[in-house]
Amino acid sequence: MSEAVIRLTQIDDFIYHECMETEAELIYKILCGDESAFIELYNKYSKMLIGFIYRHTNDINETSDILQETFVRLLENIKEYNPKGSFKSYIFTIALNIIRDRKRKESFEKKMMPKIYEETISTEDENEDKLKELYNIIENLSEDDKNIILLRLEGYKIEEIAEILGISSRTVNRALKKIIDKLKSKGGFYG
Amino acid sequence: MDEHVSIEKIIYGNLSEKELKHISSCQKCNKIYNSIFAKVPENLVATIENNVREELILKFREMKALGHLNRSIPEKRIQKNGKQDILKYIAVPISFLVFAVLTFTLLYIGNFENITQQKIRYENKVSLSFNNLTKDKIKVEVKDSSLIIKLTETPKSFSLKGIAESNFQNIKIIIGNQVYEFFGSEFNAVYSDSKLIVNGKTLTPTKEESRTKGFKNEIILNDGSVIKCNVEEIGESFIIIETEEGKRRLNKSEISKIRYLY
Repeated sequence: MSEAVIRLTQIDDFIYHECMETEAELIYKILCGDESAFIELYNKYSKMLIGFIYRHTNDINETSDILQETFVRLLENIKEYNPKGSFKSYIFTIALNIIRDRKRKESFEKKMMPKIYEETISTEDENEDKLKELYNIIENLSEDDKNIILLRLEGYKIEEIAEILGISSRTVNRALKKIIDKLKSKGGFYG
Repeated sequence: MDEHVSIEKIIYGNLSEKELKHISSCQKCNKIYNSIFAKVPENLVATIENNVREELILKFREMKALGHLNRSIPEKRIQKNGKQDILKYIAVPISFLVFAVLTFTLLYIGNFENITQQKIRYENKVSLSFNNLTKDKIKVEVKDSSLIIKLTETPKSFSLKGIAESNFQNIKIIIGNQVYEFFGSEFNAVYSDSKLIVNGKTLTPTKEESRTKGFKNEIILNDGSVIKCNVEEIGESFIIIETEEGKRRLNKSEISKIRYLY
């Protein structure tokens, strides 16, 4: 079994069995000034956010800046957090707002094909063009659809994407089908 | 050789066991799968994480020093799920119920006599307090300077305390057709096993002379009930009778029959 498949399973376990239980407690402790609780919360969500932000920015420095700003905004607005809602959705919404603001100011390049993916495909690879085509399609999607596909490429399942973006699974399904249809219209990968 | 798994399927997810097996064994598919779901290299992630963590800790300390993160928050903010809400809804009524039961129990044990005891006062002449009796089963009257306490029903046992505020020649307690007579202004009577003990002495009863013996008439009403009485006056549409309870007026239409006992 490939590493990627194993990694997806680990993400599933993390999302469904660990992170939903203690956020409210951690937030409470953070509000009371508990530094270790803040670090714990950061450690839980930083990797998830880095992957997602990087897919948007394609830039390590921008990713660092947006990650930092996400947690600073979280601290600044922590009293407004409603523990009955999904924390994951809350923090991803903060990150998305920052990404949107920065894109508006065009502070980072709009290239959607991340360098790291380019590195994984050799120039002789017959699928290089197809992958590039995929990212070209993503580039031209609406912002909402783009978020859906980028989360999917981060390995999240349809239900998880719906939870993070606060939308229905049906909407996620529809957006994914739209992209797949576009890919098919370009000939697909294996014909 | 198995068919390759299309990128459309890989993107959409929900891959079957067979497809996953193919991806892991087919070099071409494995490469495309890893390219699509490629992650930011772990060393790079670690570098970003560490750098940002350091910055954030400084920011956290700064905010704490400024007093943004040292307040307590309402309890409801830390509720994790609906279970605590449900517990709250259950716990409050249960606590109230336990409190009520405990309070009642303590009062009942500590003040048993007062709770079960009833009191009546008759024309500022006598105060009576009693257990195992109800007010409606006691009739009090003063006749010929005698205080008469009559029980309309005979309970198995009861206690009766009385304080006479007027001077009575004697006091009579009538239970059924037994008349117990004694003297004094204060008494403490206890009745059990058909014996009445007043102020520590067992009294010997005399039989009550039934007033009913003296009635000359018997009136049978339309509903079948019988009244023993003396007919005093007969009008056009009514009659006036004297009964054990006193005078009474009856409409003739209510009466089925009048009998003369003598």
